[in-house]
Amino acid sequence: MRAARGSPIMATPPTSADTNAAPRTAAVAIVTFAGLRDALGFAEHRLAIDDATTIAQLWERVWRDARKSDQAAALRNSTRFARNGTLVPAETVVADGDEIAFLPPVGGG
Amino acid sequence: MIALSSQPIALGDLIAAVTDDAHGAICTFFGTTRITSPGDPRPVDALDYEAYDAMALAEMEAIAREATDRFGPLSIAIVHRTGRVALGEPSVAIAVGSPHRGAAFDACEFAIDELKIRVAVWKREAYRDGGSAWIANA
Repeated sequence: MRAARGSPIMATPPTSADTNAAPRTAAVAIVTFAGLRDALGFAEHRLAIDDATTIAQLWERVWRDARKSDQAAALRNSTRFARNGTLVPAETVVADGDEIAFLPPVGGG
Repeated sequence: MIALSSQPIALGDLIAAVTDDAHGAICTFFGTTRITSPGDPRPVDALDYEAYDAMALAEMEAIAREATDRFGPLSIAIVHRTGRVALGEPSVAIAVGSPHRGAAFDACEFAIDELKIRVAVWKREAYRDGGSAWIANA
């Protein structure tokens, strides 16, 4: 058995020490798997977000840098998205500290 | 017993987990790694499995609950491998204990069918010629 990977990343609550610091940039963690990880070139990556960033927008941002191939093209339209471990539509707005997973078609069994 | 395991699956542990004096049947399913994929003649040396652990385990738990709702009362154990699985070894094992065999067969089939569609696990075939490919379930 293994320790769980990809558990949700919690935003750190503000403390008094933060009061005079510059505002921390809101961000999410992107995690990818299998052939999609190969195409995108990363397993986990932190991306800055603003107030109304959707998963679809994050997907477009990472896809721009993907290695283009026939296999990658097939994955582009079959990828599903999860926010903090729950499948969600691409239009979902993300929040600071979220873990967003890009999931290619599964192959268990 | 719902688990991911990076080590060979201890099949006896699954059977022990679903053994109960109230049960008259235990049905098991072992998915084992096969030397070729449909439509690809290249011989396979091993399969590499990876999981999105938290999501995979949650979905395996959900499948176990649904199997119990549909076919219970029953006990069910599901273990899926991660990491490298040698040819011929189990990559997934399911055991169902039930008062009668019909429900045990049905629940076992339901669990593997749903697992292959829903659980966040991926496999890559490593070929003897040195190549590899990610294989999605149809």
